[in-house]
Amino acid sequence: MTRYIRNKFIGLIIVLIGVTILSFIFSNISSVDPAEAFARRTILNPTTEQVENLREEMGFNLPVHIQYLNWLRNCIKGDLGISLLTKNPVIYDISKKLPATLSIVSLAFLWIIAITLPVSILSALSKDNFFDHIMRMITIIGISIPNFWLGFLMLVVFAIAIPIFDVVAYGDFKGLILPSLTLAIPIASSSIRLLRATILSNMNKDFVIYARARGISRNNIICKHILKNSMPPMVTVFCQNIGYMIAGSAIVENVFSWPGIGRHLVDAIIARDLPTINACVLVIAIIFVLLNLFADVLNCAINPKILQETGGF
Amino acid sequence: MKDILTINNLSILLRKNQSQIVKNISFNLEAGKILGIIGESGSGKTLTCKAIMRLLNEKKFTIKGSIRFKGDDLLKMKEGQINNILGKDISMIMQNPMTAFDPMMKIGTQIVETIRAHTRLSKKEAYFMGMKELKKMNLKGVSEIMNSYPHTLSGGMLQRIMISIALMLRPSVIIADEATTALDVKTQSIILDEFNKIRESGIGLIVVSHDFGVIAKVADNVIVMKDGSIIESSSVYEIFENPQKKYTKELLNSRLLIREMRHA
Amino acid sequence: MLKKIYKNKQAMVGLIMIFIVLFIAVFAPIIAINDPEEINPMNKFVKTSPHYPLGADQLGRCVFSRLVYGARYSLGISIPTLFILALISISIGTISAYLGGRFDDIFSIISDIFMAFPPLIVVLSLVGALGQGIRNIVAAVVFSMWVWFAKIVRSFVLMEKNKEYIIASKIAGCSDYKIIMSHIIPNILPSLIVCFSTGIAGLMLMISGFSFLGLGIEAGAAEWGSMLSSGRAYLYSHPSLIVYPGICILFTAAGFNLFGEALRDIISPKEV
Repeated sequence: MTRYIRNKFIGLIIVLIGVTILSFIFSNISSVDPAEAFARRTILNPTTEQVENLREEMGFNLPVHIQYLNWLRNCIKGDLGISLLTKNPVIYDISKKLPATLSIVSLAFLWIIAITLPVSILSALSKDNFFDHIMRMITIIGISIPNFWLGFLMLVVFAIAIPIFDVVAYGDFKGLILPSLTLAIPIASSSIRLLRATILSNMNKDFVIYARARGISRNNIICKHILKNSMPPMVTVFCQNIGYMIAGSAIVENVFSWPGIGRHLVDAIIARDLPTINACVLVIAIIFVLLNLFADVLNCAINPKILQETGGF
Repeated sequence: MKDILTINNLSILLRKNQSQIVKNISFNLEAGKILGIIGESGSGKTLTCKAIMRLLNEKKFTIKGSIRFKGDDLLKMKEGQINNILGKDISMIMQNPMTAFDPMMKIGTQIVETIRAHTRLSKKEAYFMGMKELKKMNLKGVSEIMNSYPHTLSGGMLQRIMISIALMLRPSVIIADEATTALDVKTQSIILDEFNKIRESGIGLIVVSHDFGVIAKVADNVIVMKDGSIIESSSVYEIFENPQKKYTKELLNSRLLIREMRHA
Repeated sequence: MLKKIYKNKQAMVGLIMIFIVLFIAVFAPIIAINDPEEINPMNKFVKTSPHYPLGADQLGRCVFSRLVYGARYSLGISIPTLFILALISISIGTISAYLGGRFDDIFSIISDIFMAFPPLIVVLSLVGALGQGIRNIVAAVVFSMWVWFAKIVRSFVLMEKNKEYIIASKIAGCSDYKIIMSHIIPNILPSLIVCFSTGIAGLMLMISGFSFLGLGIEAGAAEWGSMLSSGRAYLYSHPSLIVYPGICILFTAAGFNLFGEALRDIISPKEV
């Protein structure tokens, strides 16, 4: 048990170091000279000398590994640099934008759970019946639909044709509904397909037959045995999906003009605002790593077998 | 002797192509006796057991004939009625103890769940009842067993727990489908001794096996199945001393050694 | 195997959908009525007519012809991307699983690190750093996705590697290269096709998402995602401009998904 946690912890540290290196590389393979880019933003028609001075000032002349270590040191201090676009500290911008994204993502997550669980259970129970066929068709469409298009359709239908919602509606809860649904529907579709398949494969397991042979009622078998045994893969997938949604918010926020971190990142990319890109990527990756860790911990809590099986390597 | 289970003209058909897998078989089980069903894999013995317990997927199989338990036809019962009988009046011992228990639920919880499905006991009472019954099986460290997950226990241990669960609610019939196949020889003989004890308590037992050795050790009457039909059925001595069919002889010949053991 | 596909309705529907799109992409110059790039301000937003089957867009370009050429972009980018991805992930996944040991450990660490990034974010930041353009998009997608596919390939190979016939042929003295090429790869191929068929749908959605964001493909190209993006300004007045390209993306992605899922059912009937 302690060994398992220790291994996980070491793994986490390695991954985090790798993540910082990789996000540092991502922003440094650019063919654009960052000093020059910065100079062009701050000074009108910068001279070569001014650019060189800036380069030295910002540490871009140092060897790459020193740059990385400096950057890392600053990161740990919470200093992710100054945005070239807004001139604010990057961390300030992110802390302003992240809550907007998290509010969509958390509502979307609730939708996913609320849709996935009942639909996949019903679908699995009525396998090959009318409901199951309809749901299989809908979910195929759901996983094939581009989510930006889905967003537009939502807007056209629910904000223009039947004006229940506003087109630009940042600020209140009602405004959250369309973007979160847009984010949730494709992921819910794939989760439904996965959970349905997991439930179906569990239904034929020995332990279900034995539970029936012991006279346990159908409902109890489904709720207490089948669902519980179908959860471990779902926990991992659900947690990963939160990470995907934070990334996917880049597209959905663009459709709904939502001032979140995804749109911020896209704006930064178009403006080549390297410190911001770098920081957004790092923050999202760290959230993703933590979510995966959370999924592992949760799985350990609900599945007694994990601790034994992967106890050491 | 009193028949508790009477199977009449039981046929099982695959819905897809209407092919008959179990063909018109009839037999009965007496209280306090062990009925052995023997046959190669694919002979339909497991399907027959599952049909008795209504465990077959009725979307895949059509079941014809009647299975009378104390006079009532099990095949005509509704799901709720069947659930009241299964685990209480008719209980089952499964082939592979390692996979039969829910891997994510403690043994104790699964025992309590079974008891509470058939009685009005509180959780606490059911828990104590479960502990008491496990102790009867001469299992040691009962409270640890109740508190552990299936994967931490050995196959033999789990099989004995399963027998204990099968006996817990004083059933009239126990069906053991290849219950000893997955176990080593030593554990196997312990389990077979348990079966003999169960018979003495007046319960009717159906022991299914592909192994004449197992049948020879415990059965009173034997049914030989082949390709979904019963080809021979008589007392265990008749079968061993004077087999009527060529197929039975062949099966026996490959098992002569075990017969020697039985007489020893 | 082919017979089973032929018998499976879902697989056939998917295959037919894929072939329709392929056909349109290959014969785009014949099918298209007008030049997709021809700007004609006179025809701005004209209604459906024999000359403009689906009307014209904000610059008077024929929507139908643009959609037809869009199939070229969509398949023309995602299929080569998939090939590169397949090549990289199959070789790394197979080698890592087959050799095991230290090599596999290193792969695990690297994959853990890469998998800490949602693929979309990697592509976004790489395109941000490398700049736009189709080549950069492809490179970025490959860079972000290879590890996910390699991990899947690795799990297939691990399953296959421990089967008895592999051990037997090892004892019989087959070389590693021969075992991989003539035993392992052919045996995991069906599973790989499933994985890549559903993967290509995901790739298409992702790539069209980028051109929607204005990253990757130059603005104004007859690509479904960027058509959607430029049509958004006319969301209220001419919603059809965003409806048609969306349907095209949905149709193509659904074709690959239907086929992939049906194939999965065919090769693993136990699940159903």
